[in-house]
Amino acid sequence: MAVPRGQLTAATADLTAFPYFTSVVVKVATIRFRLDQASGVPTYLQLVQQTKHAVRYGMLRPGDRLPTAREVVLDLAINPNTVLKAYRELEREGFVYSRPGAGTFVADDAPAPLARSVHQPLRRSLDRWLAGAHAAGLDRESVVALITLALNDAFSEKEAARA
Amino acid sequence: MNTVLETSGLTKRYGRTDALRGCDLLLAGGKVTGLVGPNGAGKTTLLQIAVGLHRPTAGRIRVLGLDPWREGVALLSRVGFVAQDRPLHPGFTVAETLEIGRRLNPRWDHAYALARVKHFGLPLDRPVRSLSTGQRAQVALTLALGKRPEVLLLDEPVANLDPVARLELLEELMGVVAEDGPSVILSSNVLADVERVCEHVVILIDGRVRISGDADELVRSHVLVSGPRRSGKDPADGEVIEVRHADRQTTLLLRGHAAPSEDGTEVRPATLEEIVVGYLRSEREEVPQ
Amino acid sequence: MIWLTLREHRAQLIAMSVTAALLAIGLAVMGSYAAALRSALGVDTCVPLPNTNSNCVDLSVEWTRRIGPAPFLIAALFLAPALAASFVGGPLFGAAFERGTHRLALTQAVSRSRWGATQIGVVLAITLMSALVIAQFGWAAAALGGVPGPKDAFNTFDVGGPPVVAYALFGIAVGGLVGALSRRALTGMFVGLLLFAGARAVAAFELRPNYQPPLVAYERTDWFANGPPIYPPGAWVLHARDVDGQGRPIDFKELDRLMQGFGPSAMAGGPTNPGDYLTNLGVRKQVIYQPAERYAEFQWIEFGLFTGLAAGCALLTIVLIRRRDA
Repeated sequence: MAVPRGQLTAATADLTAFPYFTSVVVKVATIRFRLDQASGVPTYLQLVQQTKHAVRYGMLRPGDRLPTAREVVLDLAINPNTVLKAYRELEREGFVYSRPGAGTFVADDAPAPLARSVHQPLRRSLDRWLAGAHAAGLDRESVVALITLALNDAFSEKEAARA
Repeated sequence: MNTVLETSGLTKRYGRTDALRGCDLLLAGGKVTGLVGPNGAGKTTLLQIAVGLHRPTAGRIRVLGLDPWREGVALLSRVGFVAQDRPLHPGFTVAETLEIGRRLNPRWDHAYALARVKHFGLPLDRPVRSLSTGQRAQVALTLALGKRPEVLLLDEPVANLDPVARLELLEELMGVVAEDGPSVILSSNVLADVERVCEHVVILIDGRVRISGDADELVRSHVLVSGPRRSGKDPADGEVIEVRHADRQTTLLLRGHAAPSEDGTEVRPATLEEIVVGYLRSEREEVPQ
Repeated sequence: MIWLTLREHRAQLIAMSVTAALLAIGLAVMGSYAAALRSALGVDTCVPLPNTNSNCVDLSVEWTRRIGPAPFLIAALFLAPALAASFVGGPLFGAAFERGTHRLALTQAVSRSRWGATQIGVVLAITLMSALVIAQFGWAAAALGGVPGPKDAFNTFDVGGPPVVAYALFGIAVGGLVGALSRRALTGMFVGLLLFAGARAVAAFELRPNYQPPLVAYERTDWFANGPPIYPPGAWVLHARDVDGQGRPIDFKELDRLMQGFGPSAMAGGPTNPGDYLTNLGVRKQVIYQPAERYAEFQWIEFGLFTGLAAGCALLTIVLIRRRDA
């Protein structure tokens, strides 16, 4: 079941900030991972995050096969165990399941893609905020620093609340 | 856990130089291990002893449970090795080079070797001397892989390769690891590469094993703390590996934990490169002037 | 491993075999021609005229003119084992160690002994075949030799028969040993050649004269004699000097002293030929020599000597390869 073309283009347009692209081939969607060595984020975590984003934004649908460890490492020159570790983590969190001999697939009950009705308004308000920051004279680094601080505070509060 | 390489008190002396001084190492199988350290630290010596080219002066080494010096033939049918200079006979064609592997190894998968070479577009009847450095590296690796080894020992496999060839070789290597699962022990000075592909890291300095541990664990357990210049009081708990003072700033490499503080002290995870360099520099400073 | 040896040293082995073949053909052709020319001109059967041997000298000169540069083939035959030592033996292991390809071979599943011994064995075997071919042409060297008179077998000792084979084997082995020791092809080539030449010289000048205790013979003194010196036929003369009746060597001073009495003796009816006069006084030429009959025996002794040296060098090389770091 191919993703309707219009929806796909719209989705990728919204996701220009995200560092991957998707190719749609008949029924099987594959994701191509990217490695950012300078980010300080462990490699396996980057793979996990990229997969989660792809699922959340509909780039990967339930039943789609993730690339095999071999395919990933031939593309990225990372240790295959890192890939397996990432897939295990994804499986633990319910995003994927693995069939020995067949591969790793997106789970049917993976968190649904975020509806456009949800992320579109958020994106619009973000665009407005960014315009405001730019008007106030903040350069790109300052914006990133501000957002990072806010992110850290917000998510650490959430974890504290959960505990 | 199966052990792929173990040494105890391994020492190697060349004339008056001690290349290895009492190395104790235990490496588990099924992993990619990186051997890092400055030039002259003993990486090449360790690998050459592991493969039976050199004989230890003292101490003991076993690879796959075998003594490389005495049981070399049995060992080398299961172990692939590529030396740092990737020696090949310049006048031999690619096909003839593979023939060496076929004739001298009991277990040799010629179809596999040919397929690999074809995959890289290396014509079989081209003499090796007419190949680029990257192509030669692939041929040398194919020669080691053709016997479908359980262990691969590689001495600086990506040295002198251009960035594209380097990446291709690492990709190929990881592909083989994903497919056949050999244990790999490779030495390298390119720490970014080591960080990328190695699960286990061994830091060799001056012929001794300074650290041998899981790569993720190493990175998780070391932080870089930098803040206003201070002396004496330690800001955190853990082992200070290295301290560097600049005019107004102090940076320490810490094995442990630290938290940022209001006076502007920043804490961030250390990269593998910073960890290795930190250990290395601290070792040098300990040497009495 | 045999395949690898043949392929790795292909160029040298082919060059050696081709050179040996060409040398053999050259010697066969030119040797036959030289022999035919000698008998056509009657060089060897020439009888000197009463007062001069210029007629024989003329024949010799004519022969030399017509034979041209062909005698250089003798030098080629003599040098062949030395060249093998240098160009085939020296780089045998030296090149591999220098280029690091020994690390390629020794990390395949082949033992050091097999690696070393197969290379030595195969190269020696091919050298043996080439050497056997050119060792047949001692007769050609003799024909090309240009020395008139009966052929002295010992003149061609170094260029024909079993020793040639042994020299070649030794050359390869000593070159191979030096190459393996020094781990450099050039050192193997130069030092190997030096050692080869040294061993040959020692054998030829010090050992060979004494393979059996030399014999002593006495001939008529050479002083004031007509014609060429007389020696036991076909002998290899080691020393020849005049001695008096008591066996003491005679030098010029002593000769002068003895000749004082020649004049008065001739006047008194003694011999008019000074040579006869000296002979009457008991002056003789003492010849220390090895007889022609021992030629074959000496050839085999020298063969055994150099083959033994070759085996020793080969063995030492294998031991070296086994025990040293690669």
